[in-house]
Amino acid sequence: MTFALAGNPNVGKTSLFNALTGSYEYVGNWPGVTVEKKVGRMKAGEAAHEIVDLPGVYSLIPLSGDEEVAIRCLLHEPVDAVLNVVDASQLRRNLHLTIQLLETGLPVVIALNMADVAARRGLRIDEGKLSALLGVPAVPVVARTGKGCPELSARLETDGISAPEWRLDYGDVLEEAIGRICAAIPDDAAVRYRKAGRAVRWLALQYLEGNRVVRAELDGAVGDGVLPEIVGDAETRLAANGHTPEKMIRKCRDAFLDRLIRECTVKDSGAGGTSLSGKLDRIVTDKWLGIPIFLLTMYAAFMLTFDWLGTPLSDGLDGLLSGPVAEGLERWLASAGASAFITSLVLDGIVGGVGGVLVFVPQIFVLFLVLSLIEDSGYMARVALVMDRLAETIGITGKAFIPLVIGFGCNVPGVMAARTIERPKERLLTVLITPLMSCPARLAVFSLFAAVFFPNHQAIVVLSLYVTGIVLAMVLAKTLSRFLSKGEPSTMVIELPPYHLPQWRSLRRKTWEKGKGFIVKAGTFIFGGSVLIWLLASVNLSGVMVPMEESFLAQIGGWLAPLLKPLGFGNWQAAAALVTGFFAKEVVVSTMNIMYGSTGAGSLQDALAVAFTPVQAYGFMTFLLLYVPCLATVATIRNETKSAVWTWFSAGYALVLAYVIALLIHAAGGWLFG
Amino acid sequence: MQTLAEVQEGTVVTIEDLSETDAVLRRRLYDMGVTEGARVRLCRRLPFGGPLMIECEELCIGLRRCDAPKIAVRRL
Repeated sequence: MTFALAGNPNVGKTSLFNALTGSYEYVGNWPGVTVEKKVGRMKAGEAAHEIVDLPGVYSLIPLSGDEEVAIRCLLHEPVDAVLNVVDASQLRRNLHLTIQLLETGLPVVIALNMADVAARRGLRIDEGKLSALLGVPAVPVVARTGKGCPELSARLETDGISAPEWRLDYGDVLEEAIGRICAAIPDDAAVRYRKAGRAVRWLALQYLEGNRVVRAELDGAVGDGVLPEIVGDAETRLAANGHTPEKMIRKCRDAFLDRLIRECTVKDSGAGGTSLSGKLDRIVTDKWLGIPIFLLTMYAAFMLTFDWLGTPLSDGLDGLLSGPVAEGLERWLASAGASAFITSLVLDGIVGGVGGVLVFVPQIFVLFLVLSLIEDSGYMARVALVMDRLAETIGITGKAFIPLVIGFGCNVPGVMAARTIERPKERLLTVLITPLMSCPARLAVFSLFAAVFFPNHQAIVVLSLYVTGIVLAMVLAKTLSRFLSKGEPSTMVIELPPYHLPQWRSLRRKTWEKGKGFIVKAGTFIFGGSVLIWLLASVNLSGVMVPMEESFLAQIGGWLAPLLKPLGFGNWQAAAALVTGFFAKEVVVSTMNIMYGSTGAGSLQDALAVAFTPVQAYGFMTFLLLYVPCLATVATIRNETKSAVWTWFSAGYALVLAYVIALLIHAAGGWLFG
Repeated sequence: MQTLAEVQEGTVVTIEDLSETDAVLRRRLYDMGVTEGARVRLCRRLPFGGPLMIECEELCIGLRRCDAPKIAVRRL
């Protein structure tokens, strides 16, 4: 059987998914962590069950892209039953969705999560009564710890799950309209829906409520104008009492839920008072402190990465890799009688290329740890709120700051996180500016250059690059929004989840999950890339082991170098490094290591210090920050925008921007220090 | 008739009318439980014309200030 895991945003669907399937999908404490559906297999029991984790939705009417993913799955995919996660502390709001899920006609099982939070607020829920009133099983769980999951699994195992005999009366006018819509749907379509377990009545209701996905589909099946006319009739009749179909449906559901909640909950008096969340909110969204706290958080993240923790660790690893590891390998290769070709490939190509990137792993892990802390604590949604005033003036929603902050961890999930934004134009805009957020791959290059050229001001120099990216993103958003969202209003409504005290176990796991990708990439992609770059740097048409200045790599770099000349770093090495950097930006470090490290004239750091001036180095870093998003990000942008034009645009504007800014830096540098 | 824009921080009001608000916003507010008749507390206003924080049935919601004048409320 296939279960769809559905529920409101931030109620713990993914936590439950992980507990049930024993897998690890990303969880966080802000609405919109999951933006695409994920499939897992349930670990317990004999029968194989599939669970599909869906993005959170408030109702089945989609407004944003992630919600549409969820709705389309419930509408079309072969789902046998719905596992509805309900936040017990937000019962009414969650049950509105439950009603719509019951109406789909699919069997439903309710997992009642966060009963502990509800109890702390003085609310006790009689799940037996809830189950009886809704006609479906309701099992209490604590998804975060996995409590109650065995009982839930057992419940899903029993084949006694059947479609609910449940039906809410929406009043004469709407019931008549529902009947007419159901009758208008052609038989073959109706049979198809019934076979898939979907109730035609549900589709009719969603049509009346204004679900655009359902409207498009039914209008296609029924033919022009028939259904809109039925809706028009209902609207006219309801307007006499000041209602709309949407409002009337809501009212009927509310009335039912009033009764239900009265019957199956007990409110303890005495609990309550100002919660810790409320007090914290007063501080982080304070009139004067809000924005400084956000900036301080970011600054602390940087200092932790560069000064306090990350850099010392990275330096230690560098010493280990370039010292004992490289020397040991060299001795071993010599004793094994390896040829000069192989020795150079291993030491210059692989150790230089892969090792050069691995050195930055500690710094990157520290950065990921800080980002995980922000995600888990519940601060993420506050960032959107605190930054909304600024966002409003540049014509985007404060919610765009969530993808931007995630973009600091990696641009790919950052671009995908833009799905939670309701307005299509604002979503597009966010996708386009997210790649300007510097990611750990670029950080590796910055760290290398900053250590060589600005040893005493590393954190500030790198921070300035991050800030450059942010400022340019804001300027670009302001410029583009004037053309793009002309006339389209901007919206910002966001749910602010209660703060959680981050748990070390979860932080450790998240940091590892994010950082693991970086190490895997170093072991696979960068490994292969390093070998390839080393080969390109060692061969040309006349043979192997040629001087590097005559290699293919030098030729490729040489063609492009004149273009970079006006920017100050017109040497073939810089050009070649930038070309390889398109595949993954940290490859620039590998390329530099291979090109400069194997000349025998001391370390990469010394070679760089000769090849660049500090101003050129800064210009190079800025260029690297801005020019064309990496391959993976470009592919994601293509996927999210579904438009070749916008994909080309995002790569093109970035290149132009990088060129112009680097040109300005070169000019300013010449003027200041020239 | 008062609007949410005129309410003091910390005041509890009931929502009277949301029909003036933009359709997408209204839908979201409905989803979050902010409907006509719902009780809402204005927790705070962020500075420099920043968003409002309201609380509705234990749920904290952030909302733009420019939308507040379109939300008609009644003081309790």
